[in-house]
Amino acid sequence: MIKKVLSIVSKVCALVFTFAYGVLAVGTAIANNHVDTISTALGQNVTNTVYVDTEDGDGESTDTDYYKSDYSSVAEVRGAGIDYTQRMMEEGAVLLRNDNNALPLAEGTKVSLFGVGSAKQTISGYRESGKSEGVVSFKDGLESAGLSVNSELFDFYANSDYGKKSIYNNDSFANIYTIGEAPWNVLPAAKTASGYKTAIFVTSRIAGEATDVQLRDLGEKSMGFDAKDGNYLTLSDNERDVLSNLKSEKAKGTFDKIIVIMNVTNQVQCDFEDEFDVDAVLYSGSTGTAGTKGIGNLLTGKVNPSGKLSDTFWKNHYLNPVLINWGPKTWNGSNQTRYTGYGYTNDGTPSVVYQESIYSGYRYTETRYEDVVLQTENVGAFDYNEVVAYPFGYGLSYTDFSYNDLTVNYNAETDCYDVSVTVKNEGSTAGRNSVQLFLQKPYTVYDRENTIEKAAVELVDFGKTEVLAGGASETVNMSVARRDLATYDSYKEGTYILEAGDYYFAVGNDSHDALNNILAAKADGGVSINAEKMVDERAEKVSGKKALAKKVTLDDSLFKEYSKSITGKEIVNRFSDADLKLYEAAGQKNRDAFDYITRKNWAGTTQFIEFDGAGKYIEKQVKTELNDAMRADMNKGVQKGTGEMPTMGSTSTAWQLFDLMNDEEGNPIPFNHKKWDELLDQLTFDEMADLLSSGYSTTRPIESISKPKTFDQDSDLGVIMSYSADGKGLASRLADPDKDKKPAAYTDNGITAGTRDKKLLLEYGVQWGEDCLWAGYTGLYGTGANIHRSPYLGRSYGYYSEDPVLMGKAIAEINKGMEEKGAFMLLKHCMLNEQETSRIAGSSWANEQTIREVYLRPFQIAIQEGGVQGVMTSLNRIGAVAAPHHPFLNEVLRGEFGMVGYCVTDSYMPHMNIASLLVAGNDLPLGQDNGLKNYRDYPNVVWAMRESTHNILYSVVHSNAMNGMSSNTRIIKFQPEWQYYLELFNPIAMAFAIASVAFYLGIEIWSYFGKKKEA
Amino acid sequence: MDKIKELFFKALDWFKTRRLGFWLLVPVVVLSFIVPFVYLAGFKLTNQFSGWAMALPFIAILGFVAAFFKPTEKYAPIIMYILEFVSLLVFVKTSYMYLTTAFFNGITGNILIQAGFPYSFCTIALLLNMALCIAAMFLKQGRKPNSENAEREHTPNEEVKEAAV
Repeated sequence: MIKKVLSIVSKVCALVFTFAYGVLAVGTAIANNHVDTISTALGQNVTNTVYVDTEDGDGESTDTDYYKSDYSSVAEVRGAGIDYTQRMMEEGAVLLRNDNNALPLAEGTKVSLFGVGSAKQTISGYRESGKSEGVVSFKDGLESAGLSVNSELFDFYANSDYGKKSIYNNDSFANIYTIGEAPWNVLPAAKTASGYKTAIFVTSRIAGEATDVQLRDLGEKSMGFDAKDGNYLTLSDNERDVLSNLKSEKAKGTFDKIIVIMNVTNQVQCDFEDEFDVDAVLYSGSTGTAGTKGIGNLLTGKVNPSGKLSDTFWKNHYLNPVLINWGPKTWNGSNQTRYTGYGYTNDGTPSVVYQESIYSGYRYTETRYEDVVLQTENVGAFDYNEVVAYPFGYGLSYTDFSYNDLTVNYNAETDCYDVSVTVKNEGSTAGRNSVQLFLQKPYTVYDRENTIEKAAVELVDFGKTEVLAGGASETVNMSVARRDLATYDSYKEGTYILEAGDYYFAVGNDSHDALNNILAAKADGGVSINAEKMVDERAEKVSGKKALAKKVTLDDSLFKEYSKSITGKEIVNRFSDADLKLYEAAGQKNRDAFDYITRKNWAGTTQFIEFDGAGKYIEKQVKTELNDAMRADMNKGVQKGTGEMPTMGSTSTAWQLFDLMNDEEGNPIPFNHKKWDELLDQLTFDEMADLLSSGYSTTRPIESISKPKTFDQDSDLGVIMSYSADGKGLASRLADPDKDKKPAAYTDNGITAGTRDKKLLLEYGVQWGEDCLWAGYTGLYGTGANIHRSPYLGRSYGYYSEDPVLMGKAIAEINKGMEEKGAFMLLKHCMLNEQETSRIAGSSWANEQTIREVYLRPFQIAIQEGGVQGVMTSLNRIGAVAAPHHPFLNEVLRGEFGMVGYCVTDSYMPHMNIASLLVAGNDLPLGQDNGLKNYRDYPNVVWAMRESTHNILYSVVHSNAMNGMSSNTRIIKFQPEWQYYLELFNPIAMAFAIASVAFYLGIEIWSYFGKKKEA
Repeated sequence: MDKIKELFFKALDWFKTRRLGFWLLVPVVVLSFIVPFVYLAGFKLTNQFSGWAMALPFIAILGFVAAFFKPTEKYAPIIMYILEFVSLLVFVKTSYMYLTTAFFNGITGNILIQAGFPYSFCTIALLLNMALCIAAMFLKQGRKPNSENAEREHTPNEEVKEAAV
């Protein structure tokens, strides 16, 4: 009996202890692969900085704060950030309509705020919305500007259950929200309170990372989703109900005017203004912390609106040809992915084809419009006013401005066109004017024959006046590099070409106005146009102003002038493997599966969203097949190269990283200085492998050269964690009482770009840099530079525009500002990641012209004009090749654009490989991979490791990470506390496991001999 | 033919003596055979593939051989449990990064379903195998055969024999 009991007990003990030890051992092995990630998450240090007396050192009294803050407390820096949210709104919000001089409102005007968004506003994307402390409500914002807000109505919305709700019902950042509008009949009697003659309706939408918003019903209706016909970006039934009643009340005299504020992360289609007799519309995007104060100032005229749209505002989203090849396809119910996008027909792997080529946004609408006016062949049925509500670059003011004396002069010294225009305030109200310069390149016979597409008009630069009093003028100067007139020829020359022909520079109130000016100039020059077809955005006939378009004629001597990059590198096709028409492995079936949209034949190549008679969606996306050759390219690893290994572990020099900061004159040591080679020679394989194996919001320290650990923030909108999150910034070092607070929630990036104010953008970047200093961040995994390919993109608020030049130039200024404070951007997501649906490991297919002129262009401008040092590569594949593995990183970003700095992947995923990404020029996984030890004898990989180490060290040494470092400081690594305890418990658990097994075996042996004796 | 018949009935007799502890190992064998193929299909093209995670379940099947011998039959579930457990640990260690895809948008209660069929199946199958082996460890594998009954049942009928002659 005792033996039986002991046998059971010993078995149980052996089971329990061996199981526990097994789990602990594997858990420890996994945890040791993620030391930095876990330490960062637990807020534990892995290094310490110590002062060491050296003979040739700088000494203890040296000022080692190389990047200083202009503020002395968190309250100050945070306060400044909050002020910027107001200022960006004032400069970037766009007045879309102002009929009957509805605006500005006089101070003291009594307003009733309608719409649940008025009390529950969209502050930011839903991931960044956690920064909700101190948010100024619409009521407070408008009252701060002197308006009197209907409190009872506001309180009803604030206290009611109406409002945006997640139907997915979890706390992750992949939520789907209802619109949640309250119908008219539930509103209190105060809705028509006497004296409140101005009705302001706030329509609100929210989106964010991981989920695109719905463009049609995918089955969520059964879960309570309340968008009309499943289309999140049109007014819901209840919203229409409220507006309809406002219109009725206006007719009765209850209200004098109806104003709509679009507090949206994604553009709600603008087809409602006339239907509901709306007098004024203001597009504000997400408000950020204090943007409502800016809105108040705009509504009352304290600030004259000067913002311009960063996107085309569609009247009917379903007339956007991008949408048939974009976004979600099915709802998977409780599946975390929620939507599966389009994929290969024979495989679940996602696949999206950018069939529209360059024709997204205004490149489509304005180009097709021009072809209607020019009466070109195969233009098909296209009514501009059915498609476009407000064109790209549109924005009204409370005054009128005129443009005069447009001059364009070629400067041979700079190889640029210097453009100037005089802006005059023709009205009496002071205000600023955003000047936008557009370019038209000739669409030639060569283009038609060689599948080159040309947009009718493209933004090439912008500027902004100061505040001009009534009658005052200012000349705004802009500049366009002549190489920006070149076009990419994917299929014949395989490089940039500058064709002979007539180029037009034009200014206008917006892209459409500029194009009309060009058409007027062309007509004046003898080009045949149908002037009857020239209309503005309100369908009024216009004739354009030929004086505001200047023609520049080029001959064919410059045809291959720009076939080399600014670095001198030959530009050749680098993305043929992303174009199904050129990618050999794609096969004939994929090549024949589609035609790109072409200006030669709009009617034959353009398709739109359509439903059959029964209301069923008609699938029209390009259908691709995944074949074995493509699969092989997807899974290609790194082959062992030949050649000599680089020098490692050298002791002939003993440089510290600090020694590579500046030379004796205090100038930054350049990237290619021989000192860098000497420092890199010092590092061992293991040191480089340790640095490059883990990049989860950090770069690891290197003890031997005293490289400090750096901390990075992952966000499109500046710092989103508290100032004390990593415990390293000024806020923690000074033990600031407000250190646990978060920075301001910054406004929508579309509004930021809407300011068109380079000076303000630079200052804004400095503010982001200040936040980084106070929070202890060096790198920002941001901002976002993906194109607004579709209005339904979930991450629209984090990107800036459908236009690459606007986005690139805005980011350039912000980065310059950040770098003044020693922080830098790792611009994301590079590239072809324009949808959240199926972004992980999905293939994006586009031709080279589209890639270079649209999707890669913001990165190019940000690097070349703003000095952006690095990028975050995207989760998708570029064609079949994972973005982090694609050679464009070295060949194009570094080779052609001259980028100097490091690249990090997006979250490290199973389709990525550490050796492949290093060899391609990506430098860090955003995660951990300890597989580099398997490539110790691959010379190609080890050389790539050396280059990546160089890239990282160069960025770090010229950053705020070096604050506190001098020739006397050393970095000491030590084991974090959690790792110490794990390693302590492992042998204890092993001992228990062994003892329990011994116990069990002992009982078994005792039983055995016992039975033998009995027998 | 008679000899084969005899062997067959002997085996049948022997199987009749098997208790629940033995029979619980049969589904373990079946799953151990299926798991490697599902694992291979799901992970062969990923960085998370490990030959050991595939081989260990097959080796666990060999552990089942111990169940056929009296001296070792009670150790069969232990051997199989150890091999299934180590297989699970190796599987988890090599494939946990795969979960970054499933968990990328946040962790919810539907983890295994979202992780995809190969991952879910392998995890559930290995855990189930471990549970079955643990149960089998505490149950009897077999009992002594009733030899008199067996002889009476399977000796040809005397009358039939005489008739045949």
